[in-house]
Amino acid sequence: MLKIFRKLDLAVDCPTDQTCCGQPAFNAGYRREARVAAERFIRIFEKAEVVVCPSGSCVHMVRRHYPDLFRDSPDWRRRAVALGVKTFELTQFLVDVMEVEDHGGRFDGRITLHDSCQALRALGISAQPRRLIAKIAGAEFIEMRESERCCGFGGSFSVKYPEISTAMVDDKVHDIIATGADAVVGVDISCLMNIQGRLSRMKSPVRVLHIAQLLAGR
Amino acid sequence: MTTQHDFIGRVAAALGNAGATERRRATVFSARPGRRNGEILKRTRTRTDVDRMMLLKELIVQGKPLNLRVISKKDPSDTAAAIAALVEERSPEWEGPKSVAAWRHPLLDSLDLPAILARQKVPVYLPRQTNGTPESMDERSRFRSRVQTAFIGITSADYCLAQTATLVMKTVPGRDRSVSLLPSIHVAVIELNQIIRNLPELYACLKYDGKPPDWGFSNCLTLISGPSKTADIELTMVHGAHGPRELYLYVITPRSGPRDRMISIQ
Amino acid sequence: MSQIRTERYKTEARKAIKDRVLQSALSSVQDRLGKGTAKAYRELPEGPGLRRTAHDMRMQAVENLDLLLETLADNIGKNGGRVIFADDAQAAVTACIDIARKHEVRQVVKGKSMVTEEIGLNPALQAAGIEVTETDLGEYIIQLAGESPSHIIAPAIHKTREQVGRLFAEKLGISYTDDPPTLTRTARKALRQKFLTADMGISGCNLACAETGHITTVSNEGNIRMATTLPRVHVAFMGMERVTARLEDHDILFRLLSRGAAAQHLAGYISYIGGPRQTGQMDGPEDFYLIIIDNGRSKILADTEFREILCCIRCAACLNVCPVYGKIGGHAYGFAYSGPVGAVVTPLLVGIERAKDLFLGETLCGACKDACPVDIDLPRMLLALRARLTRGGVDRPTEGGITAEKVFYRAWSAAIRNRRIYTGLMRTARMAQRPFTGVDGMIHHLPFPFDGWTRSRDLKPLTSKFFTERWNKSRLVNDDNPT
Repeated sequence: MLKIFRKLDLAVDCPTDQTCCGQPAFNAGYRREARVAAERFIRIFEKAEVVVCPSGSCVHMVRRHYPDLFRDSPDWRRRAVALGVKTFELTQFLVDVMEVEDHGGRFDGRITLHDSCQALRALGISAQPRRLIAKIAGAEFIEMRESERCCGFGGSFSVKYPEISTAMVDDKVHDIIATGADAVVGVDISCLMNIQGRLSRMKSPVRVLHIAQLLAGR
Repeated sequence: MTTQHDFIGRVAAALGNAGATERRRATVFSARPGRRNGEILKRTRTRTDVDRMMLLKELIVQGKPLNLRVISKKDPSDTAAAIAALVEERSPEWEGPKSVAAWRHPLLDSLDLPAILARQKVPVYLPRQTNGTPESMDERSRFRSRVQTAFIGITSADYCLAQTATLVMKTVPGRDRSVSLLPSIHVAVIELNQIIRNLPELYACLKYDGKPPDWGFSNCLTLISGPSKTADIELTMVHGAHGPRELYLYVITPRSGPRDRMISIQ
Repeated sequence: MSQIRTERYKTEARKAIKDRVLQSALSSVQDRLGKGTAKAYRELPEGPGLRRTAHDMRMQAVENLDLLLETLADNIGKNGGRVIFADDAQAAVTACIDIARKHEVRQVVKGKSMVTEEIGLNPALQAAGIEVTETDLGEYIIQLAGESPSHIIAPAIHKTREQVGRLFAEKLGISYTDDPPTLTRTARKALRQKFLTADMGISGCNLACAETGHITTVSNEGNIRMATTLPRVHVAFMGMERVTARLEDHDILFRLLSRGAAAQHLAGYISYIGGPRQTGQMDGPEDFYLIIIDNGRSKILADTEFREILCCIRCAACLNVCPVYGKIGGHAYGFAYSGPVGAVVTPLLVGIERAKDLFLGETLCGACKDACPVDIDLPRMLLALRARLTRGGVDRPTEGGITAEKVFYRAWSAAIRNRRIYTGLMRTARMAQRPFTGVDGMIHHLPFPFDGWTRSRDLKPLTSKFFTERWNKSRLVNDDNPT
């Protein structure tokens, strides 16, 4: 990401005392604990002009769930909403805010894209990663069947309901392999971790890349 | 079992609704035709035959995927001839001789079906005339057995919705529901001016064209969009589950050329 | 109440995943009906925004339910029908049996009704010596097979034509065939006799209309018309939330129901029924009863966080797109309602602790919300159920793994607060993972509770250098994103 931002001549700061947006606790139903993380997140990031995050689900947490989390504290809620407005997922930031699609990335081979649930449905991120991939030199893009179908990660769901989770990721992996792609790309590391884990266990040569890695030419 | 008062009291308590009943009632129920209903009614009342021909076209298109066969005929006698041809070429699904059951209805009366079908020796059963005396168990029993053995049921309808290819039938004396339900083939005969566009028009007509204080539709109103079907086995579509397997709709369409006549729906 | 098997979620899910026939059937349903829904919404003349209008309409009805029910009851009375209010499943069942006894009913024909599944009506009637025949083809099939429905709209979707063929050969004595039209004709013939001889017809109610005093029934087969026209008594069951104020509300709701359920413009048969047959009518029942059921709905109504679920019109659009339902099928949900709607409404009806797998065993992907014709925010309520569960004290104190989990998250939130502790933990994890990391650089085994992951998947280990460490080391390092 840094490489990309530097190319765009952006002043970047990465607060090193950041920890977590609180999503794991929130999704598991532990709202009080999630709030602790959320308050910290807001304190650390609210002074920034823009906050960019390489994770659709984290941005979703901030934009969609923070106001809900703070519904009983008007002051915190206001701060959460103000922060949400300037928090962007990476591809959203590059395509919609910076309006730059070509970042000099290169990939020789076929690429397919997995649409992460939170990024797609909550944030409407679908065209942006596709536009970025289209500008990757040497790459051939193939849509997989049902790219928007959930990969089965779902946070702790993946360890608590492993057979269901595995059955779902199997379908996803099947669709990926059916495209003949050399690599599958996504905007959410959690989905990618899940997909990669299954591909690896199956000894598949298909690579798994986060969009940032693809853009930076890894 | 609980009383209505206690049950609804619990619902009201759950909603935290303390009073404001009259105000809420006014908001939730419409007291008189709102602007939208007014527009809809105006449109139905000022519709011309040209407009209706467009609706007929749409009806035919919408009916196709539903297996609804829409046939335009120029007058009652042409319609009667077509029905006679249908009776001739079709066979009963269940055992027994051919017979037909029909509504008592002015439009159907004008077809003179008993006479037409008598040529093929096919009886036409009509419900008895309403004469003030309540129908006996015996009469109803006989009616049921006649309708049950008929292989074609012939009705008219009150309205036909073009957008969804729907026939609308109010249940009133002489126009019983089982005639469009028990026989294997359902034949409906309507006039062009009975075709309206869609559900909003239907509901507006039912609510505001009926003569007060009755609602326009009695204890039973049936909407039929195509013959019976099911896809419960492996999602394979099969026509003819429990209701009629075939549905023919004859629309009497005067061929006197398109004229800009204002026709209101009764 | 019908039997509650929500505790069997994991077991049934495991069984379902291994069942190739079921998997194929589920894929088929979701392919044919799930994908068609989005397209059907786009083709609406008013556009997909109509769903929001429908949502507001349903919420208004739910929020004025007391008025609507009162008006409905009064108007049904005017149409000659009788309304009975039932607090719970037992009251509803008892009322029905009383009616059956009063009218000397021996045989019942029944249209598909989820609320009658919920209250366990069939077994109770049968125990009272009354023969009950399900007449919806899918329900008829599973009744013959002695099973419960696996889908709200297509109850026998889990059965192949060969299975149905064998079932009919065995139970109906016909020679084996697996041709759906032939099988359907067989059912048509068998059920026709039942319709003609039954004493009582039972139906549900899709959407009642308060201002006119009618219930509505919806089908494509015509079985509900048969069951509510031919027998001499008609008893309709209605979940208390299934009512609209105005007649014109039905336009939007029926169009959306038909699209959500089966990508149709409008269902084949819609009947408005307000009372028994009137003088001059030769057919129709002599008596009409409407049983309006609470059974836990007023509790849901009182809870503003979950009130929205009462907007549901039971179209099953959410089932048709849910990736979890698509793997585990309807039986895993252990109650009348399956899929995303089941994951919300079942715990609210039978107990949050008891049915917790239903809302924990979802990925919150959000496909259901997009598919819902009345735009119900199901994911929001799934999250809210999780929060309720952890608060504890809801029905029972939480037990076992959940308590340990609570401790875990408390510790986690302490760590989150303090970057040094957080980093310390991450470093510890990085060290601890080394013995687990294979030569290929991936982790293949992890101890409980993470073995759920590694049974079927590898795990990419934490990177050797955290981004924040690199950032700290040198602001000018030309390095890339963290993993």
